[in-house]
Amino acid sequence: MSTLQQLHEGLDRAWASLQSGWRALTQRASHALTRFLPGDRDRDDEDSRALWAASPGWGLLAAEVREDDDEVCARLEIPGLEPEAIEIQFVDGFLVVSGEKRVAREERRGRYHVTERAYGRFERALPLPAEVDESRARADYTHGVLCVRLPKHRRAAARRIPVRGA
Amino acid sequence: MSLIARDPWQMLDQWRKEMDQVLGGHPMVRDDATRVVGSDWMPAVDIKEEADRFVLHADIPGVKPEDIEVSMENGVLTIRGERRHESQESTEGYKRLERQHGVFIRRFALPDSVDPEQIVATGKDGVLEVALPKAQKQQPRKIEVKT
Repeated sequence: MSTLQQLHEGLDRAWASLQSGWRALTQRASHALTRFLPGDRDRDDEDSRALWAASPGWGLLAAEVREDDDEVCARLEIPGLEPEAIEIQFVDGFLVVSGEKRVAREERRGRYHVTERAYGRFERALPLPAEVDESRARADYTHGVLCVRLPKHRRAAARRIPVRGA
Repeated sequence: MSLIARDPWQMLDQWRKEMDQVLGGHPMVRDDATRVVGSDWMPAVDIKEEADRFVLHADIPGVKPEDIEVSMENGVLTIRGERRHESQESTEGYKRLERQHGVFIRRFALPDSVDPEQIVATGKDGVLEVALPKAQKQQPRKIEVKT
């Protein structure tokens, strides 16, 4: 076999493996992949601007939504935020979480060798699996995980309907 | 426009370099030490070099700081821990499951200038910060040439 043919087949194999890996990745994580846009501070401060330019611009905000008889519980991994910087809204059956991940203020000047973490403004909308009473929603932020507990509407809660005989 | 304006081998070389960049990254994380068998997921990190220290930030949401193990051996910094499910809730009722649980291990080959005795690690809001101060600069030693 000629070298060129070997190279061709090698590239084909590499490409096929890359494609299958990509498919597996997108199936698992495509919803978690979130765009990060430059925040207000990233525009005026030179160091933040440099970091934003070097950072991936996309981050994985992995979510978990669980439903039981009385409530819907949504968890979202958003490390490194001030709890006050997180905004939670309810829009047409979606839980919308937005915020801005900033560079810590006290960080001193320096040069980045590795930048894998994403910075800036983000927004993630999660479809809710049931009708919830948003006025009774509770949220807490622990170890970088946002947890929103949403009691279900009474009419949406499971209800047994007796069937009467004629 | 010419379709053969560029040497295809040069393009292939360029492509290889780009793939190396995508798959490899910086020398600090490029060597296979950073890929560890038995790791279920990999936290994303930033590494910054300041005048007198290196600072590493790792996103490790959902893991208590006391459950993260940071160790230094033979010039290799290891970050290790496990993300467990928040509670003993059954796996029923999940409508969406994107979070990865399990063990994470990541290793970094550090430059010789780091003083292993002075490393400090802190955890807050799911972010681990490891400060790695550089050792006092060694004075260049002049060696006399005897006659």
